[in-house]
Amino acid sequence: MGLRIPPHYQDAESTYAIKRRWVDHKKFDRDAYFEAIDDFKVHLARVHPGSGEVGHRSIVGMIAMMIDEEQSLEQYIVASRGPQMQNDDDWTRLSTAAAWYVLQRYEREVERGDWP
Amino acid sequence: MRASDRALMTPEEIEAATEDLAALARRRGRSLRANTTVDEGGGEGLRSGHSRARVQDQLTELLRQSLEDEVIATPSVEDGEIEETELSRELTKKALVNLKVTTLRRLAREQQVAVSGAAEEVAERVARALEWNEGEVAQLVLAHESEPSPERSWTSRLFPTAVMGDRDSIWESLRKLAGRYIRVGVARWFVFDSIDEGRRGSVSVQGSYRAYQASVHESKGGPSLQAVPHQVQTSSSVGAGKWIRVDRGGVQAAKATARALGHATGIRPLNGLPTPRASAVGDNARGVHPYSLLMLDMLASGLEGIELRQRDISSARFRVAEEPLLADAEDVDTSPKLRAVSFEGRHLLDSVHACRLISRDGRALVGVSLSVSASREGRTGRMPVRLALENDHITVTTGYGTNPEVAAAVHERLVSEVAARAVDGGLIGGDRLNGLLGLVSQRASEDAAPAQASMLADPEAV
Repeated sequence: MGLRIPPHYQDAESTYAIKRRWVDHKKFDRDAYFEAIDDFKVHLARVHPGSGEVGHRSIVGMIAMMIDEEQSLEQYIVASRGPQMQNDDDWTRLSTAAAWYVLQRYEREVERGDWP
Repeated sequence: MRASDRALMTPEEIEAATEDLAALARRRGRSLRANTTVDEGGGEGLRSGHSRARVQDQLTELLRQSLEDEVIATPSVEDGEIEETELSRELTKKALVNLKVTTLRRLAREQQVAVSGAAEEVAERVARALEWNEGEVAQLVLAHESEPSPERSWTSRLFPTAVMGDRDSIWESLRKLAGRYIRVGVARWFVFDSIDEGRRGSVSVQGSYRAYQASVHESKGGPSLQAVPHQVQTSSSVGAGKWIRVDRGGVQAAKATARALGHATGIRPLNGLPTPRASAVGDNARGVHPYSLLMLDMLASGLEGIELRQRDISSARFRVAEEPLLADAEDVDTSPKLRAVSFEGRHLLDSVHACRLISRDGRALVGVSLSVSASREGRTGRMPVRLALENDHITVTTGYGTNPEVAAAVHERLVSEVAARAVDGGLIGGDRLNGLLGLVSQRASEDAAPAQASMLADPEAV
């Protein structure tokens, strides 16, 4: 059972095929994102010195920021849907939704032994 | 993550951690962008029209919120008060947490947020989905209350009596007691504050029940008795039918009020509820406990008669052992006993188990809580209602719901419907009751409940 995507982010896949055509696409820089996630976990663990557990939402928050800054998701969406399709809130939600799918792929590959 | 595992952090530390983590994530993103070959257009590639600064702020805020949820924040006390925003959010959550967990999860599903986790977590997700809008949350809570809360409801108790009494003699008996009190038990009194004309030819009494707990207090001078007073205002009426009606106050105050009115007028409450005549219903009533008949009659014809719709029974209480009806009977038997069982859920009358208890086992259905919708003069409201058959009285409780004016009208009609049945043989459901009994009997013989509840479906939906 992989990481469950919160229901209100699932339409990002049905509407924009974010998982199929961006996260799972061969051009997606999987290694760069996965290395970053490893790094994020180390930094987040310092915020939780007692348990060492890191919440999914915080990692997702950081991945979403990375996605926003990296801009390849933006290019994918604009190329497929046009430049004026989304407002600021939509972009925040799309970046966060994409981050959930990235983390889901990361956890799946860690579980299978495909990463690191 | 357990609360005990969480780190303690001040808001300033959370803010600093958020900034550090956000800077790290953005550095990673920029670095990756610098190393990536852009598909088309070169340079920045394709761009959308959104505000990059605004999105950055929103993502930073989301990260800060998630960090806040994962640690225990320790804000400083300002002017001795909890920080206003935090207080407001916690109160919003508290209102949601007061709902039943099943209801809360249903709301979470409706808001398309995750339904799993403890009630507090689910409440937080629902509140966040509603952007912490107190008005919207309040409406949601009111529309989904399955039980009337004591502070937002009307409660009326009807104590059946053997006779109705003559209005003039009741008036004369009570009038002279205004400003006087009588003792109704050990260290318990009822004070007749005022006597007035009541509705439907009744006489109404405003009064107060005063009781004292006596405890032994140890002091240097030796042990002494200390009185702990308890006072409750009640509003009651007698003379409109073969019952005494008591509004407001808890069960003890209501019983004391009914007893006081009985002493004063000679119209004494019965020791138990009148037994409905099952023979008036037909074969479907065979083996069904008389109290279940009374309750089903209310559900079948009483609620429909006052046009209550979308009736959803969320709890049902069955008495599984017959107990002496004397309210104050001393129980010296110390053997374990199961006296009642309660079911909780949705559309409980459609439950096979509930129907078997009614139809096959002949258990007494003595309490139901349900949500109903009603319309009055163009206004609609949804409200929780509870009906309970006690040893010597029937309780009707109606929550204010989403429209207190509509709920007030519904409460009065419900009390009238119950009053009409709180007399000897008072089943008036006829074909409706008979039909419902037939459905209950049929459901009891089935293996599983249907996918769609149908037992109390609205007439137009059948």
